[in-house]
Amino acid sequence: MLIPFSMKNCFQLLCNLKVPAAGFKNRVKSGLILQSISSDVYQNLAVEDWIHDHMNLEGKPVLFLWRNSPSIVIGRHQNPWQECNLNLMREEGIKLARRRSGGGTVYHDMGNINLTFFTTKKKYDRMQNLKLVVRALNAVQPQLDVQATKRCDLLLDGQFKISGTASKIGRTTAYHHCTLLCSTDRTFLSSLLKSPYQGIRSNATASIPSIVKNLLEKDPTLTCEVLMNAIATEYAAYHQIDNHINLINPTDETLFPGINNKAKELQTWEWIYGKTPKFSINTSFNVLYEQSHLEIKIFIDIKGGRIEICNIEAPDHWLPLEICDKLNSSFIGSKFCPNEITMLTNILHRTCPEDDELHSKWNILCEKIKGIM
Amino acid sequence: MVAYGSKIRIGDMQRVYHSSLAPVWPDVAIQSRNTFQLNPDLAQNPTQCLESSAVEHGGCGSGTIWKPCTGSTLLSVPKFTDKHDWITTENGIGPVGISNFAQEALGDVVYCSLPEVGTKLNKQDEFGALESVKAVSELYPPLSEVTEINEALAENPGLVNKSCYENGWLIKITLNNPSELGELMSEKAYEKYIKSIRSENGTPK
Repeated sequence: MLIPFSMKNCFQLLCNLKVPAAGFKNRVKSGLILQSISSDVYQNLAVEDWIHDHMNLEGKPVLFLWRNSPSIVIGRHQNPWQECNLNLMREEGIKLARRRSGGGTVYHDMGNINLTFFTTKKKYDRMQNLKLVVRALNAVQPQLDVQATKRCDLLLDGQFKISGTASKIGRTTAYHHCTLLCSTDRTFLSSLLKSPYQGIRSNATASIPSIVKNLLEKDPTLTCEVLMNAIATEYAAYHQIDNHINLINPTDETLFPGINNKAKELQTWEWIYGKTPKFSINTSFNVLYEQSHLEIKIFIDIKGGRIEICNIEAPDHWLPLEICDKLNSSFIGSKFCPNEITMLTNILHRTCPEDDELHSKWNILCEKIKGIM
Repeated sequence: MVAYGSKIRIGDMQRVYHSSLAPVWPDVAIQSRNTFQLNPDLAQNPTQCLESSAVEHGGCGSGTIWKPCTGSTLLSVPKFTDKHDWITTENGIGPVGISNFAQEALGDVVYCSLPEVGTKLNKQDEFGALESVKAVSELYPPLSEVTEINEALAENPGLVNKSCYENGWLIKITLNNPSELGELMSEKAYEKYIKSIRSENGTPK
């Protein structure tokens, strides 16, 4: 049951959760169900961070329900260039977020439900959480064939992935979150999660692609609202707590002091791209010159999202070696990012202002390089 | 001067040694540098008894290893934190890793996120993380500066599982305050600690 929650009530509830059981054996079952009113992926991830860092979950687990407007979320140690089509995302205005838990890359839109189970480290149990979700699904539709795998995926009819899992284990608390596909745009999902970038060598954790399906396609009664309510009901029953879903605003500093800073950090370039494990690109492309194709080779090493080594090799008759070297050294230290390259190219142009032919070659090169970013 | 029978801490060891240890303890065998090995019979003698809880217990079999504090603590056996990290230092420098209990609980490690050489680690900060089967587990350091990281883990993170006490070490550090090692658990104490966790929780998930 959805209850628009007054700020005062929510604050009290959250405060109660922060107070540890005081000296007597607290046999009263307790817990909390929260649902975000925001569809901003950074704000919602910030709620997870805040609960993980600030709440005392001893005897008081929390379930957090959230959905996001179209976004791609990569795991803590992943490489976005390897995982998704960043060019397409820029064109379509799809946000990229890096979460703090592990696992692979997922596409979120309002047809996908995110569930986060917060517990103490001792009570961390992903299978238990997934079994709860399966019970909830079967409560709505008893004939539904949903099973949890050893990798903590949920499979529909033994073959279609409808949920993926990831988690974070901290000093005293842990969280397990998972997706649930109800009515996501599957075509868009497929095109976004296909990386066009060639020649990447990296030891970042790689995603395992799966065939997915929406629950709504299986049964039109399984909408996001129905499923969120069913999961909340099952959670409340299991933990013997009131079946109240408390709506929360993730930008409310009185409820979550410091949360806006957490959301800001999640949006920085340094976090999203800069935390990519060291990787290298070894690829080539062709440019058309006097009716023939010339091969340009690229070797780039990227650390912390910045170019550490840059080796662009072009045929000497097209671009003299010392000019090429100038280009290479100017890229060192810059972010591996199209905007930076545009800016650097403009600076380079100013070093040789009269040379139009050189400028046009530089522009061609830079456009190609931006294409691999 | 520390009175016999009183509790001493690592910082006090030096005074005991210099003032009385050599003549009073005829069976003391001096090992390398200032490390001592005590004859266990001496523990029976009340005038020579120092509170064992104040001293590290080594795995040497023949008694207690005393560690005088001359600005740094000599340690040749691992000490354990309640977060399941181990640390073995000599002269306040040495490797840190995770225990067998921890690597079993984690499952197959697929990625190690370690700090840069030269990073100063605070006790409360996360110094890195290990990723295994989609779970990221934070690592918490001893209070120190990073002098080296295990580069082999970049290509082979599974070393943490296969060889958590040897080839799977994570970072090497210089301790800021070697006497704080006294707060950590010996191997025996750590074994007791994990027994109590196992009986409370069953197998880790």
